[in-house]
Parts: sequence; C-alpha cells; structure tokens
Amino acid sequence: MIQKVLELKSISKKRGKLRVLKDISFSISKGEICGFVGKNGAGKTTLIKIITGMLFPDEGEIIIGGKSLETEREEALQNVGAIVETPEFYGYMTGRQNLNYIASMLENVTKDKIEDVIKYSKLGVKIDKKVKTYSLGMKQRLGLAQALMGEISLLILDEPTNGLDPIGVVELKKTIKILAEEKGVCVFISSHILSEIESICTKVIFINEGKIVGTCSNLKQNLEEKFIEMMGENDE
Amino acid sequence: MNKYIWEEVKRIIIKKKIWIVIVIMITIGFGLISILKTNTLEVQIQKYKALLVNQKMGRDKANSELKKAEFSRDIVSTQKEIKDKEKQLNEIKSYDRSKLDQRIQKLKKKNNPENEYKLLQLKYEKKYNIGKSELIPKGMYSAMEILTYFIPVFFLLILIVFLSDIVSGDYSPNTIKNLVTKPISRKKIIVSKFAASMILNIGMLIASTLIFILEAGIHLGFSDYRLPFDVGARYVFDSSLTLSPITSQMKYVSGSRSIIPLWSAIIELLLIAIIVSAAIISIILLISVFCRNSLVSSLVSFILIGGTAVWYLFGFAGRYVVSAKYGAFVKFLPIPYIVDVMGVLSGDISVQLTSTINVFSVLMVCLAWTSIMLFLSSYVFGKRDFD
Repeated sequence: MIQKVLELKSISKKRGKLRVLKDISFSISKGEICGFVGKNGAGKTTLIKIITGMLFPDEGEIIIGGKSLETEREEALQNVGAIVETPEFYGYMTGRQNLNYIASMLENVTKDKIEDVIKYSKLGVKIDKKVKTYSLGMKQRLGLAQALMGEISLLILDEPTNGLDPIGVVELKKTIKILAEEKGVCVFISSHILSEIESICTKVIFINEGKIVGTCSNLKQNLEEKFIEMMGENDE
Repeated sequence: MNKYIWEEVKRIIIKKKIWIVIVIMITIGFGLISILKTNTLEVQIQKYKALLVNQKMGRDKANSELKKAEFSRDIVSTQKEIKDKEKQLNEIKSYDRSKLDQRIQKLKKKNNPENEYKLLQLKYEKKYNIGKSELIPKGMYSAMEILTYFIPVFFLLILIVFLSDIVSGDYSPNTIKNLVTKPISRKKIIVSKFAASMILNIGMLIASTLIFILEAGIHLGFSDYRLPFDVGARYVFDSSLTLSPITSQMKYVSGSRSIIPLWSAIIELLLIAIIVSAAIISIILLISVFCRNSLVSSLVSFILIGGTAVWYLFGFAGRYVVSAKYGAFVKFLPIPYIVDVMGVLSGDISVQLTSTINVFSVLMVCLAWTSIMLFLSSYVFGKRDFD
C-alpha cells in the first residue's frame, strides 16, 4: 500500500477579495520527489506557507503523515523540514546559536545531530560567525541545515537553489536523492528552473492562477513543452 | 518547552547585550549617586525644615486656590516627615534595651490606640533583642529607598526597552517563520516568550537589588538589616472624615499593621514588584504581538505604560479629591502598584487610591491582567497569517 505523506483536500485561500488558491487537492507519497511549478504569482509560495502552518486555509484540509494540520498541528509538523522563501535567521547570533535555538523547538535533536547538519552545511568556521555576515548562499546552506535537523518524513523546499553556488546546487540535488531513495523522505520542491525540477523529480504538479492545471509523472516527456502546454491551456 | 524558554532567554541576552551593559552601568551609577546623597537623620531633619520654609513661602505667594492646596498638601507631608524623623532620632538616642519590658508595660497600661505603633515596635525590639546600633538606618535601608525610586523610574523603562520587541522583532526580518513552522503550538510560543521575559525580569530585579545593597552596605554598613519596618496597614473608607486636597477619607484600621525586619521587607518588596511586573510584561507582550514593527511596539508600549505611570505619579497620587472620584477604577490598573510598590508593601496605597487594598487584592488584579493579556496574545498570535 502506498503511504501518503502529504495530502491536500480542497484547499482554498483568499487574499482580500482575490482567491489566490482555488480548490487545490493532491497527495504525495513516501519517497517521492515532487516538483511544484508555476508562473510568478501562481500561488506556489502561498500554498507552501499553508502546508508549513504559516498561513491558514479558508477552506480544505491538510494531512501530513496521517495527522491533520488543523487539529493535530504539533504532531503534523513534527516530521516536517522546510525552507520557505529566503531563509531568515537572527543576524546577531551565530549560525550555531541559530541552529541550537531552532533545535530547542524540535523533539529528540541531539548535539550530534546538530553537528551532523553543521558538517553537511559546509559552513566551516563561519558557523561560529554572526549570521549578519553571511551571504545569501550561506544563509541558504544554513536554511537547509535547519530543515534537515529533525527526524523528517517530509521536506518542503521553496526555491532552494536561490543564491547557492553550482557546487551547492549539485550537493543539494544529491542530498535530496539520498533522502528520498534511502530514507523514504517525501520531498516537495517549488522552483522556477524547469531543468532543475526535471533532473531530480519523480512527479511534477503544475499550478496556474491558484489552480492545479495538471500533473506529470512521466518525466521522459520534455518538461518545457509540458509547462507551456499546461499554462497555455489554462490561459485560454 | 523548557529548552525553548532557555534558548529564548539566551537569544534576548545576546540581542540586548549592549543594553545590558548600559543598564548595569546606569544601575551602579544610580546607586552610587543616591548613596552619596544619603544623609544622617540630623541632616535630613535640617533639610526638611529648610524645605518646609520654602513650601510655606510658595503657598503664601501662590495665586490660585489649586496651587495653594498643592502647597498645603506638601507642607502637611513635610511636617509629618519632620515629626517622624525627630521621633525616630529621639527613640534611637534614648534607646535602652534593658528598659524595654518596663516601657511595654507602661504603654499597655495606658491602653491608648495612638500608642499601637510604638507598642508594636517595642515588642519587635524585645523579641529580636535589637541593639541600639541596629536602629540607625544604614546601607540596607538606603538600598530599600533606592529601590523605591529605581523600580518606577528605571525598571519600567528597562522592561519596555528589553521586551517591547519580543514578538514584533520577529516580523522584520521574518524570523517568525522559523517559529511557526516548527512542531510547537503558537500558544506555547507566546507562553514561552512570557516565561523567558519573566526570568529576565526576575534576574534584573534581583541583580539591581544586590547591586544597591552591596553599594550601600559597603559605604554605610549592613548593621540595619533587622531595622523594624512596618507593613500591611489596612485602611477603610469612612465618609465621616473630611475629604479635602490634604485629607483623605480612608481611616486606618487599628491593629492591622505589623512590624518585620528590614531584610524581610526587602524580599516582600521584590515579590510584589515581580507580581506587578508580570502583569506589565503581559501588556508589553500583547502590544508586541499586535505591532508588526519593533519600533512601533516600543513607542506604543512607552506611550501607554510610561504615560500611565507619569499620569499616576504627577496627576493622581496624593490628590485625594481626584482619587476619591476615580480611585475605584484606577485600582484595577497594575501601573499604580509598580509606581508605588512601597505603598503596596506598607498598605498606604489604600489612601492614595481611596480604596481598601492589600497585597492579596494587588495579586488578584495582576493575575487577572496577566491571564487576560496572555489569552489575548495567544488568541491574536494563534489566528494570524504570517506572510
């Protein structure tokens, strides 16, 4: 039986009078790497913010690991790691202090685990420097480190390669594949870069003007063509 | 949650480390200046007498009835101070431990309610076998006096500076997303931030008290730690008393006062300050939850809390006619209790607010404010969308 890690049921959200998300439903299973593609302003980040508990949906339900985000919030978010937009940290604290702070909100994060993600972040001695001295790429690495700190079963990444250098991008892709294939982590990635999605995802969901306009599980098909087809269909 | 509370305490300390240094320096400086200004009882009496002459001249020259009334009230207060200080000085000079029993018996025989305080004091001195040198106010008494100025003037400001951005500071830069996306309920985030604020608040209060005690003790001595200190006086409203700008309608309830050692009074004063500051912190927290900008939340906290404190200090306290009208409402605010924390301890706050008030009622008011403010903060924070 396929184990659903993330399930969205009829999610809708209004911003003022504008409906930015309309009746969104889909699910992602264990070990799947799901790309989330859409034009600017299509509603990608809004949906990610709803899944991570930053925004409340007006309608619908989100189930993470069999737990409702609305009624069992703490349990639902227990195994979720996320980077939403540009990672933000306390600039007056060091990278390590920021990780310790975030770890205090998670269960069972040992010092060894924190050291592991620090090693993974490859920030080196910079981990003990104040975050206000970090470049965007370094913040992105720290963001990934904090997302990987808990015992995650769902990893949500919103534009994760923003600011990363080419080596960082390669390492990230490698990490995502290892997490999905070896640990069965379900990864949900939003990105503008279609080649990036194409190279790592096992499934792609297209969103346009707040609606899911299609999904694609066969990534042998040219994703660019599929994207244009999906967006075009919806525009008509 | 405990781990998160400690990390939050650490975060605030790291964020405010420059302020912490400034506050420590101000505290040390404030203590030193106050201690160097401390005079012996004889000098204090001389100074009060000079002040009395000036106040009388001011009253004679005042061109409005209101001004005259204000001067009259100040004159009454200064006269009382002179009388009390002279009594205290005579008491110390004529103090003889071996005659305590004899004096107690004498006062008991007289059975005059006016001697109640004197009798209480003698009984205390006998019970604790107080020596003459212990009756002279020294370092501990000075520290207590400094605290009563420090708490309303600086402590309120320190609370606002340290805590007004405790939530609003997370909106820009948007670090709030690191909190709300984690498996911790929003209610727990607010409660943890409140708990962290309380830990810092208690730490600051204890640290400043220790600084004042050390400074004053080193300069003046610690021998007065058992100095008799009266607390818990109860007052009731008596309409037969005349209400005027210089007289209140609150009547002292005979036998309600008790005398405790000075060290114990300092601890009680600190506990009252902690209870009242919990209510004030919860108000600062709510403001911080509402405002999405730390500068705005600091300004709003400063205007609301600082403004109320200034209004109470200069527009309400000691104005018996005003307090007879509005005291019944003002007693439900926590601000007067931090401004006049000594009044809460001694019980004299009842006269200031024309209402019967004791430590328990202050506790109830502060508990109610804390609960309501925490509930509202959690509710607003819990329902908010974080973009």
